[in-house]
Amino acid sequence: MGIGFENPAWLLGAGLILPLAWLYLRVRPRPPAVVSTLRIWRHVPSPASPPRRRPKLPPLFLLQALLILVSSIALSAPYRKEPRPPGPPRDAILVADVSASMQSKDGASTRFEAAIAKAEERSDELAAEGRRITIIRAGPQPDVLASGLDGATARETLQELEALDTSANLTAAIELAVTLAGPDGSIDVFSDVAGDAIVMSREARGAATVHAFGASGDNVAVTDVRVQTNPFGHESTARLLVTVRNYSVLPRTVGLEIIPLEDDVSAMESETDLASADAAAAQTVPVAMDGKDAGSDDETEEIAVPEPQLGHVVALDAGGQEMLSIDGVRWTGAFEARLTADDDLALDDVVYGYVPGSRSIDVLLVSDDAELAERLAWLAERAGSFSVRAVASEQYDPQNVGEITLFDRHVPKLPPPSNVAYLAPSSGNADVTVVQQAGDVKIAERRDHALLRGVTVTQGLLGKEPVGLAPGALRPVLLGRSDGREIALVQAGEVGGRQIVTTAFRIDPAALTRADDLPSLIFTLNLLSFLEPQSTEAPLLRTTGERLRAGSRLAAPIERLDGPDGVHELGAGADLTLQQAGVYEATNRTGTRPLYVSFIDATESDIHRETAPARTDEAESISEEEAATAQDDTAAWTPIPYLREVLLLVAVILLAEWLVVAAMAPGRKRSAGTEA
Amino acid sequence: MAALTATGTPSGERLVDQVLAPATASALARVRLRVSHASGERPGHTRVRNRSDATGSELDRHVPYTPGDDLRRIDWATYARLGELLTRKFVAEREVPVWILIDTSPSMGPAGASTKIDMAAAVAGILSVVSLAGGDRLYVGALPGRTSRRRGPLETLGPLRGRHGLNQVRQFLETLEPSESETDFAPALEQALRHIRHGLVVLISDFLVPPEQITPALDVIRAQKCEGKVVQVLSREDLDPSWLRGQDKIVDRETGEEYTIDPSIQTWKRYEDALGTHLEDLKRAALDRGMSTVVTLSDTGLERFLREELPRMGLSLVR
Repeated sequence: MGIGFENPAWLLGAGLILPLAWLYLRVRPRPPAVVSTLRIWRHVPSPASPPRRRPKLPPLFLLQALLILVSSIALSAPYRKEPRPPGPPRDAILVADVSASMQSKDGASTRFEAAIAKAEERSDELAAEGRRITIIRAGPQPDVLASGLDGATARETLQELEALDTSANLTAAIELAVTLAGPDGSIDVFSDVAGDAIVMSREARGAATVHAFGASGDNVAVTDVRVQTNPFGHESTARLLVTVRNYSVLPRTVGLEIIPLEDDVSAMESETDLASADAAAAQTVPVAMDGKDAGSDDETEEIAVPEPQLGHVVALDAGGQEMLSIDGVRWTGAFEARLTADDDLALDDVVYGYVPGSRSIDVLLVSDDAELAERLAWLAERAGSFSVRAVASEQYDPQNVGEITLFDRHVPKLPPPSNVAYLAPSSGNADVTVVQQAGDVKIAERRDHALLRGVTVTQGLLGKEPVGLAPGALRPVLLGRSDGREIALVQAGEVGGRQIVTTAFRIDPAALTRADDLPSLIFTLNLLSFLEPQSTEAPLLRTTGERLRAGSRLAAPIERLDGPDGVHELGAGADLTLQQAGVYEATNRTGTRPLYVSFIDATESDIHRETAPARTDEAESISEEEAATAQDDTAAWTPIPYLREVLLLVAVILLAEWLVVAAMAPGRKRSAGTEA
Repeated sequence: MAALTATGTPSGERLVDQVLAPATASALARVRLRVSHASGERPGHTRVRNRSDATGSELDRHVPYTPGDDLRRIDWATYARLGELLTRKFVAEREVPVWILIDTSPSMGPAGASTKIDMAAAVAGILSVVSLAGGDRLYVGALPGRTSRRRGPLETLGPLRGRHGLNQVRQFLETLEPSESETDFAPALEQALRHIRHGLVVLISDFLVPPEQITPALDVIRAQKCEGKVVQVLSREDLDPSWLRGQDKIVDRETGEEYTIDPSIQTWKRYEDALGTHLEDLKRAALDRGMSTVVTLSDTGLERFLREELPRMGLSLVR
C-alpha cells in the first residue's frame, strides 16, 4: 500500500515553514521592559556578560508549521494505492463511431476502416491483458453490440460493423460506456471527432481515451432541395431550389444534375429555362477531371450533361454556399439532385425531391358569409388547383368534410378529421381555444413560417376586432399586443397527423379580388398550400435519422420496408430509424410506394479535421500510458477520502492555535500595559 | 454589597470612577467604619470599641455603681433581680480623624485603568465615602503629590466633614496621577499628623522602597498614637516576572536606570524570593508596631477587595 498525490505541486507549499522559522528565529532588537522599580531586581545578580539569546521555537510555531504542512498535504489531494481485491478482470469498452462522416475517404481507405483496424489492434492488446471487451456502436442511439468478448470474438464483431448514414450521439455512447466500465474499466473511443470536441462528463473525460481519425476535409454537399409550384398554373411549371455548400478549405467547382427518376416521372419535357437559373452559379465552366477548380486547358474537359437531365455547374468559394434556382420544370414526379464531384464524402452528393402533379383539392368552406364563398370559388376557378364547396354553419355535416375544411367564425364541437383552418373562431374546441375578444391589436412579432412567406402583415390583414387565441399545441406564427398583453394572431401546427391553422382574424372577401390588397390574397393561398394534404400516390420523402412511424398522413401505416439496409417488418405501433440513405419500398395494405431517403446533415458533412493527426498521436501516447498502468494489474490507484479528514485536522489545529493565543493574551496585555 | 455588585461598569473604566459613581457611593454610605483603638474627642458616629462612655446607643458593659454616677444610667431591672446597683456603660461614638495617604511615586504608574495608582485611588475613595458618611473627619494626602499644589512634602485635602466633602475627594482622586519624584514617607507623615492624635491612618503604596524608608514612617504613626493600616498595592507584573520572558534589559520607571538580567527561570525564582523577603519585612515592621497590612493586586476587582481584603486589614465595613 502506498500514498500518491493528485496535485503534488501543492506539497511545495510546505516550504513556507522555512521562512516562518526564520521569522521566529531571527534576532530582533527588543526595547527594554519598564518595571516599577529596580530595588527588588537588584537582589538578583546581573550576568557578567550580556546573556546570549538562544534560538527557540515556541509551541505556537510548531502549530503553525503543522498547519502549513497539513494544508499542503490536503491541497495535494492524497490518495492511496492498495492491492486490488481478487475478482474478475477489468472491463474494457470499445466505442465505435458509425456516423456518416466516418465514411469519408482518408487516403486509400475510409476513416471507418482505419478506426475498425485500430479497434481490432486494441482489442488484441486488451485480450492479451485478460480483459473482457464490450463493444458499443455509437449511432443515433448507443447500442451495446456484445459484452464479455475475447479478442477473436471482438474482432469478428468489429468487422461486422458498418457506418451509418446518420449522425452519432457520441456523448450518450461514452456515458453508457462509463456506466458499463465501472471505476476501474477502460474506455477507448474510435471516432473522427477530437476528444476536446466531444461533450462528456468529467468522469467520462478521465476514463475515456479518444482515438481520433481523419485528416481530410474535401467535401461538397447538397444541403437543401425545395420544389415550388404555381398555385394558379394548372398546366404550369415548377421551380427547383437546390442549395449546394462547399465544406472544404479550397474553392470548388462542381456539376449538379437534376435526374428524374423514371419510374415516377409522369410527364417530362426537356424544355427548361436555364437562363433563369441563378446567374452567379449557373454557368458552364471548364472543370478538372477530379472536379476541383483548374486553370489549365490541358487538364480540363467539359462536364457532359446527358439529356434529359438538367445540368448545371456551380463554382463555390471555400466554405461558400450557393442556391440554384431551376425554373421551367414541366414534369412531375421524383428526382434526384446529384453532384458530380469527386470529394471525400459521396453520401451527401445526392438528395431526392418530388415535383407534385397538379390535382384539384376539395375545399369545404363553412361560413355564413355568402360573399366569402363566392370570392373563394372565383379564386379557385382561376387557380384551378382546388375546388371550393360552401355550406352555412347550420348545414355543416361532420361526415361530409373536404380535404381542407375552412371554418369562418364558426367552430364545431368535434374537430373534422381533415386538415382544417379556423378563421376568427367564435368559440373553442379540441383544436382551438379562444380566451377573449381582443381590442386594439398591434403587430408584435412575426416568425418565419410558410404561412407568412410573401405576406406583408398590415392592420388591413387583421381586419377589425380580431379574437384572442390562447396558446396550446399549435405554434404561434404571428403575435400581437393588445392592452399590454401578448396574444397569438396566427397559430399553426400538426396534431394527430392533421394540419391545423387558427387565425385571430377572418379573410376579407373583398380583399381576394382587390388588386391593391395582395397580403390577404397571398395569405389565403399560403393557407391553402400549407393545408394541402399530400397525395396518397406521391412518394415519401424522408431524411436519414428520422423515425418512421407510418405512411403519409391520413394513410394506412407502413407494414413492410425494403431498402438498402434490408427488409424491415413493422408491427402495429412500431417505428424505425432510417439509418441508410437511398430508395426504399414502403408497403401497406393499400399497396407499395417508393420512399426516398436523403442524407442532409451539415454537421456530418463538415468532415474537415485540422488537428486530427496530432490528436491521434496524443491519443496513442495516452493509450500507451493507460496500457502501462493497466499492466500493473495487482494494484490500483484509488482516490481515498483523506481530504475530509485532513481538512478536519486543519480545523482542529486552527482551534488549538486560537486557544493557545487566547491563553497567552493576558501576558501580552500585562506587558503592553507596563510598556504604556 | 449587593448594590456594589450590581453597579457593574464597562471594562476599561478606572476603578476610582466606579467607586465614586453615585450608585456605588450611595451603597457605601450605608456601611460604617469599625476601628479598634482610634478615637477622637468630638462626639460622632463611629463606635470606639475599647472606650466606654456614658452616652451612646450600644451597651458596652455594666459597672458597679459609684456615687456620682448618673442615676439615669442605673440598671433598675438588674437591681430587682440581683439586689445590686449597676450602672450601664455604652460604646463611645466619636468623630475619628481619618488620614488617607496615597503614594504617587513613579513606581505606582502608569496612569490608567487597573493600574496601581488607580487601585490606590479606589481604596482611598472607598474609605473616604465611608468616613464622610460616618461623620468622621477626613484628610486625604498624596505623597509627594503635584508640585503646584503641595505644601511641604505632600499634597493634602481636608479636613472634610459630611457628604458634601465627597465632591472634593472626587476631584482630588480623579486627577491623581504618578508624580515624577520619589516619595519620602517619614517627613510627609510628620507633616500630616502634626496635629492629629488617636486618629486612623491608612497608608496606601506599593512599598517598593527600602525598609529603612518605611520603618521611620510607621514610627511616626505610632508616636502619634494613631491606628495605622498599611495597604500595599502591587501589579501582577511586580509579583510574577515571567512576562519578561526573552527580555534581557529592564528599566526603572522611577529613575530610568537600565539593568541587565538573564532571562531564565532561575532569575524569576530569585526575583520572587527577593520580593517575598521584602514583603515579609514590611509585614513584620507593621505588626511590630501594631498595624495590619494587606496586599492587593491592581487588577483585583472592587467587589473582591471589599469582601476579602478590606476586612483582613481590620477595616471592616459594618451596616
